[in-house]
Amino acid sequence: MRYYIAQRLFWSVVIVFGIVVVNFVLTRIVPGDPTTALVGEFPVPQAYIDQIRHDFGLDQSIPAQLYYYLVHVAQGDLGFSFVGRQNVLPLILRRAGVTLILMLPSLTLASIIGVLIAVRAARRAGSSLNTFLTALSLAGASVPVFWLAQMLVMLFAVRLGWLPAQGMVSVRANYTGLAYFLDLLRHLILPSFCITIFYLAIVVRVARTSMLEMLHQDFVLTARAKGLSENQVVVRHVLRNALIPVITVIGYNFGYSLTGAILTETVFAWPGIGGLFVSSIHYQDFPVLSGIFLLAATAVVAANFITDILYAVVDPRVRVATLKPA
Amino acid sequence: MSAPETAREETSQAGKPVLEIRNISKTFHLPGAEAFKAVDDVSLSVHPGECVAIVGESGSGKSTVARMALSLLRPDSGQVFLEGRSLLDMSPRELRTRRLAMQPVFQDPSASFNPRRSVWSSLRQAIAQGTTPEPDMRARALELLSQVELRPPENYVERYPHELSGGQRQRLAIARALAPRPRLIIADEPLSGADVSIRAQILNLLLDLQAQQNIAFLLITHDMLVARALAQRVVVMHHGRIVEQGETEQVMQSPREAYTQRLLAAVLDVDLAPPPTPTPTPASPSAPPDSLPNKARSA
Amino acid sequence: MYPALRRMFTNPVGIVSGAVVLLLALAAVAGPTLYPVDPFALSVEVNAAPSWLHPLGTDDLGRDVLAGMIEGAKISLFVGISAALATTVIGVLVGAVAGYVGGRVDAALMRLSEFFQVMPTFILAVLIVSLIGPGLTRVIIVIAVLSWPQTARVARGEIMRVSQLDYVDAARCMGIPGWRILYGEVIPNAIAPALALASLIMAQAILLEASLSFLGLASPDIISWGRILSVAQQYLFTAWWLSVFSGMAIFITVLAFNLLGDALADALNPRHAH
Repeated sequence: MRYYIAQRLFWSVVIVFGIVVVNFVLTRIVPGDPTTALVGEFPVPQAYIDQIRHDFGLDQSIPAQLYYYLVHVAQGDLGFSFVGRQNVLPLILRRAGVTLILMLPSLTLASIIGVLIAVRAARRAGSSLNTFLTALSLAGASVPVFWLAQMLVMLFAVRLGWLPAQGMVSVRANYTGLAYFLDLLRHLILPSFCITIFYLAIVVRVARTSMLEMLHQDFVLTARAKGLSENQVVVRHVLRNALIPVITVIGYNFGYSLTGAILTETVFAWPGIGGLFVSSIHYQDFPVLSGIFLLAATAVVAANFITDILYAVVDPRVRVATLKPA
Repeated sequence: MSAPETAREETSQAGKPVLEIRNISKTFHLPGAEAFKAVDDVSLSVHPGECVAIVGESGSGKSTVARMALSLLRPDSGQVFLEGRSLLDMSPRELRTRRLAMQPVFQDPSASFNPRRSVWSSLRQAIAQGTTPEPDMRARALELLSQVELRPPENYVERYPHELSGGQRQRLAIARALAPRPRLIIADEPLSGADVSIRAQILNLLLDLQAQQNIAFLLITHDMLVARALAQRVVVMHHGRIVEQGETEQVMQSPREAYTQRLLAAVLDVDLAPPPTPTPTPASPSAPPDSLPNKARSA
Repeated sequence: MYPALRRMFTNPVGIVSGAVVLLLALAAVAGPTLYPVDPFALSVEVNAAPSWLHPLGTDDLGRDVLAGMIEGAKISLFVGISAALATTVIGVLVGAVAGYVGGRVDAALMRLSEFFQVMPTFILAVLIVSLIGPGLTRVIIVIAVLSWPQTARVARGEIMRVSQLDYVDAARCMGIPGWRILYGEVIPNAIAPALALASLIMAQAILLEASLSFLGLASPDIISWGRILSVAQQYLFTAWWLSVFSGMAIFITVLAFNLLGDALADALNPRHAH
């Protein structure tokens, strides 16, 4: 087990290093002056450009430049955003918290609903309900999430006027305490519904497949033979074992869910990473964009690593299989 | 190879074997399993026009020997000589030319042909590797089809593999093997894929080819009766090693090894005993199909 | 191949999704003739609701939305087909080399594909397009560079299966060079699953292009569905037609390619063949 963790950890570090290098390469393929990629297209003082040139050794060889870049990243220095007038790392991290407020309830909800749907579908394999759910999850995977968000805004905010269309809190109201919380909740409903749908599609698909596999396994057949009711079989044996792949689908699709969150935030003007991402695109604020990429990619690697370990803890076969030299 | 041996081989042209295998071994390392020694220090030779059979049960390593002889698999140690030249020491380019002297016929005729190539396309591919000029290729293909008794050849030349029966495909496989005018054909269970009614015909075809064209055969089979029908010499393999070899009749009449006796007894018993009720077994590529008499039962 | 196609078109899902794709292609090719309105022509009727003159309304610059939708169909199909083609070519080549050569080359290429699969595709695509600037060709290249690993993995598995078939060994025994065996014997018989995947990649590519355009990363001289949605974002309260139709178009197109890919994979599945 220890060897397995060390092995996965090593590979994760290699990937993160690779991502930093990819980022470095990207700053060099920009047409024109490489400082543009490190500074952005925002009008910045010439003194700062000169300082960047010196800091990143832009007049030196490529390997030396890579070295300076790695040193900066290792120190947590992802650059300075002239648009946001602050360092990139704290800027992104603060926004990341706001995004998590949106993502966590949605992911939890999508996982619970997804597994429940999958249980129902798996118990009636081959039924029309099953076909319908398959179609639904495919539809969920095909819908542009930002369009779904626009439709929700037009229906529930514009037409019906039930819920707020934009933002995280009512700016003018200045609520505090419980009122603030309820206001936040009202703002949360539409965007989190949107992400939940987006995410439900993939959870249902993966959970249903693994559930169907489980239902045909020996221990389930034994349980049935022992005279347990179908409900007992599903709850006691199938559900618990099928949760493993559901955990992994959440862990391994962190990047996918982040994409959904970013696009949804754009429509609802949710002040998280998505909002920052879009405004950085508009202002060509490259340090922020590449910072978001670096952090998102690192988060994905971390999520994958944790999932690998969790999976191996729950299912020892994985460990054995990956331990063998290929 | 030491110098005197080289000298001997190059001077005595008549006694020079087409194929000589010297002390080859092969171990497989499968993930999740212990290392498996498939072939252990096997040596044998095949002389021009001669038919040598390797017999043994499935898993005895006989097919692995064939694959190493064909240079489809590299032995861990040992040497393979084709017409006196070491296959392992050749440059890839030289190997590509020289290996034409030795052609395979595989067990499963359904996997022997690219499903997207017509009979003509498959044969042309084989003929084109030889010295036949372009305008004569078609005639050569028809001639080959006739040789393997796919007559009239015009009826077969435009077909696709899935439009042929198993027996026809096996004949086609033999035709393809003959295309580059080889001195040696290495046939791995060439009869087990065919129906019983066809087997005798293919057996006779192989016998004719041997007699008429002076082609040497290395025959891989689990079936002592097939070996007896075709081979002048047999090599008995068990657990990757050669346990006995000699003139076919001699081995058949007075097998020295208990294992060979068992192999013989298996065939002879069934031959003499009345056919028991057939037990349907799913055909799988890893397990060789039943032996000849077994097939007769289920047919 | 032919029985597979027959199976494909006896499957209702296959028929419907195939029909939608055909209809879309028809709209892109014949649309400008059937509805000869210049999608770029500006007019004073800005944000006009659907009417006889403008069946799907106009946008903020008074451009006809229906004409823009037809132009968008062209763009989406172009991006989808080119990106899927490029992805499949790269993926099959990498998969073929990995599966056919094996050993260390295989291990290295698979590690590389794992690396690419870990990276958050969408964010990276946005970063790259922001840095190098918008443009259809660039978007297509970015999509191909980021999506080849899935194809490579699928192709590799199938190449490995086919390369151990007897007819490949027979070709080797004929002294045919390795690369000619690869493209003459192995790839034609191993490519089917990668082709089914190509349909799914088309769906992903169309969705990704729409997302990039929605975020304002389309070049200003094109009209695409995602771009119309990007405009619509500013007029959610007043011009519903901008959002509804173009979004629906993306949704139906992506769904059709996804279903088509599933139906293709189903039809090509050897377990269903007999």
